Amino acid sequence: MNDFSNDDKLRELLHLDMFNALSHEEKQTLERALESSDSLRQEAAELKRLFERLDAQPDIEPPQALLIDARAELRARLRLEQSRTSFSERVVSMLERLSTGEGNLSAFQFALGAVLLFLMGGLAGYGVFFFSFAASQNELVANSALNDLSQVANIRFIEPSASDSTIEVSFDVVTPAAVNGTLSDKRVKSLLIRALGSGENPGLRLQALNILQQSPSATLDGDIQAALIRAAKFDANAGVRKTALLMLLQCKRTSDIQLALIHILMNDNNAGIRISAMNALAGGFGVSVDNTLLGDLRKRLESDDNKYIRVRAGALIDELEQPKSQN
Amino acid sequence: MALHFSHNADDAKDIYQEIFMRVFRALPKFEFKSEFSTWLYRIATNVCLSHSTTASKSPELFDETVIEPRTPSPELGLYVQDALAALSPNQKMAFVLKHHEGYEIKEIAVIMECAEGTVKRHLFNAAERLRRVLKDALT
Repeated sequence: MNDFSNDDKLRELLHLDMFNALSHEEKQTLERALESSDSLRQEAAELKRLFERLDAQPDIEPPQALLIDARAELRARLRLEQSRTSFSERVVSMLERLSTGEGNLSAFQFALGAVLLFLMGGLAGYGVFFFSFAASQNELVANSALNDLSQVANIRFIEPSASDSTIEVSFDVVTPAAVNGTLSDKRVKSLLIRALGSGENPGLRLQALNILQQSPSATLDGDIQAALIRAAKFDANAGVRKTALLMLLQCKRTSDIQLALIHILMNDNNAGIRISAMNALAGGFGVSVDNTLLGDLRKRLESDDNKYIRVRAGALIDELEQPKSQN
Repeated sequence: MALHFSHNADDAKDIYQEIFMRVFRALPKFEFKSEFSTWLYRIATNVCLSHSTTASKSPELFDETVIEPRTPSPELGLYVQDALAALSPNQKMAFVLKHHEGYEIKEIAVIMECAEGTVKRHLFNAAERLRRVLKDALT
């Protein structure tokens, strides 16, 4: 037990040494241990190679256009924040002075304050009436539009609430509309699936995936899984395909998912995604795969331009054949 | 730092703006009890970590907008990005602060508001995970 703890400690020192994070004494302890342990020396060599590779990676510099864009947006947000604060502060301060009678308010300021108070009262009354009317109108428009999804466009997700798992989605019909509900609400689900398949922009599709990711896995039913499979196989954006693939791996393993993974492994142009699909398939599905498909898969993998995939091809094919040989 | 953490231009832009909005709001409360840079990095760390939990898209993103550095071996570059993305947010943050920003363990502990031992554990786990994930690619 002591040896084990000591080994662990030495390995930790070895890893920290790569970050130049050891004290003089710790460094000496490590050097003594390295002299007497082959396995530690081997691990040290591997780590050294790793850090040489990491150091050889060129530093990521933010593109100039991105920086200019980010700074411009930041300046705009800061200006907005500043004006918001100063205006609200001015109004509050004036109203405070008006209500307490403190300070030297001029006749003009007094009149302006009174008018402001009057306007605020009027606006509050109008707001109560208008928003309750608008909410019921909005609900009516949303319900009628969702009967014919072809009218729906420009879907936007409004911050989903984490506390009660409700999702607010707004979209345009003839006029903009919004629905509010959980994933078990058919309207919300159909909008999410539509957003996931929408060609409008990858950000929207990723947002739909994020919302699905945050939902309880029990609510990811067959329709959603089918949409995820479509996204993982065919989406034009690699980020969307990768996220959809990772979400599929959270679902119960079915032959549909296995076939989707094989399709991805054979057709995706992103090596990282193909490797993820390969690793997932290697995890085992317990479902036999058609011989012709296996043959095609073998041919495709053996000619893959990625070394890792080529090296692991044989083991994966064996893995996929195994359920047959067990029968 | 935001780019190293997120590997995604859009996320990095969001993180950058959120950091400076928080700095703008919190600046009047800053009492100069710590170094300004430490305080700034602490805010940046909190924004990065909360961004990765609320918008969980970032760790798995392999988007066209990903900033890919030019490497002599693009395939290995992709592996490294994949491996870095697979780290937990805390491991990635400790790794970025140490490896890219050059902070000492003690300083990272202050920035991440945790014990030095915890930072060491994050770094150990990060290096171990990278070693395992990249083992085949490096041979």
